[in-house]
Amino acid sequence: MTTCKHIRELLPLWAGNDLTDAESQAVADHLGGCADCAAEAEAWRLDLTRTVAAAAAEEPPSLPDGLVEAAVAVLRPSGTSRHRLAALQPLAAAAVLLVLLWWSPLEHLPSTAQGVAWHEVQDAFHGCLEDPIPLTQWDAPTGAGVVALFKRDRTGDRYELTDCLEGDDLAAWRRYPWLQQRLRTMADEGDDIVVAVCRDQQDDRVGRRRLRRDALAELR
Amino acid sequence: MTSGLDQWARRAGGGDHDAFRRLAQGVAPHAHRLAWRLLGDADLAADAVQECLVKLHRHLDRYDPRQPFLPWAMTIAGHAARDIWRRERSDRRAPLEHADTLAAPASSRPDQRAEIAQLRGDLTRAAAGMSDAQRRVFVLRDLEGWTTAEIAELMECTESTVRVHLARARARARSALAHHGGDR
Repeated sequence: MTTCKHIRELLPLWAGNDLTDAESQAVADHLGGCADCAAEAEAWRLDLTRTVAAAAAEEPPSLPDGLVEAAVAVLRPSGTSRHRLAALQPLAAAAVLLVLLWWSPLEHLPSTAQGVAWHEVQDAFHGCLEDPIPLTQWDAPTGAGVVALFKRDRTGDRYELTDCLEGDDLAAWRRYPWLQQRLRTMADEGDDIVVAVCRDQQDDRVGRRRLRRDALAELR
Repeated sequence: MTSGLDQWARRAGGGDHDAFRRLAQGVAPHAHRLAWRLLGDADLAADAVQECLVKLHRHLDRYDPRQPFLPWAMTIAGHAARDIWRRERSDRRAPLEHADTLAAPASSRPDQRAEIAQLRGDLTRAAAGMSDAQRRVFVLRDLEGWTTAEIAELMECTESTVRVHLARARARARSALAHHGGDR
């Protein structure tokens, strides 16, 4: 004999049409003769609909800029084609430019128009950044916080924000494939990359996100 | 009916890299949303998107062009997210658990936004009491529309286990909404 207790245990799945045919038939048979369970079943349907609507309204944060493009670039076929050669032309031009820059006397190099002074960087990060360290010397610490990567110009005075990440584990950023690819590209281009960190002492996730968003808006 | 993604997938399968780029741009937002819901972390979700695109590129020859592409791609995205959650600590917060920090959609009316905001607050409390498995089953079945068989395959468990998780997750969510009343 089908009891109300047994039927009510099935209602969470009945509400989403997740019962087997036999179970569905048993529930239908019972609800036809039990007004209390029928009302409970209708309430279940309504609540599940509202729950799903509320949960589905959440939207994820935006994808990091350039993530898809970096992934696709890495996945480009290795065969040499006309298109591939065409894609290499800007790189060849950049290589020639780099050689020219390399042989130019440093004192005659104009300072880059991009980038800002470090105190302006600190202003954008509300003064929380630790001193910048060359990427090659930086040992990513564990713990929560914000990591900012900069290209430093040849004068060493101006900093261009290239990436800013926040997370529960600062060390984790090293394994992001898209970021590794970007760093390799910058290193290949001879950029002086430095990294600075703002440690989060109170595990304030919302605060970290706000800091990152504000800094990006200010510096990019 | 064939979608744009299906057409790009066919061309990408033939070696057209520009088609793959367009395919990746079309798939990435869907994969990102799924991964974020499953992983509860924006950075990990971005990782999952990367892994998803790599897997798509690697396995594109297995795609049956007679079938719609997006569901197939989302299966791969789900696997990418699963690989990541296995690598990560289990104490990360779930998306529903920080739902109250997110804005309500701008498209809804103010009264609807207030309703949804309150429901999300209740969901936050409900999700805090769900196990990881319950929350993931809820996301995949109720938010993403996967079948219990597909979820069982992804989570490497039986359909019965999926149904147990699903029933408990829904019951927990409903109990959190119980004081809310609504239009009943």
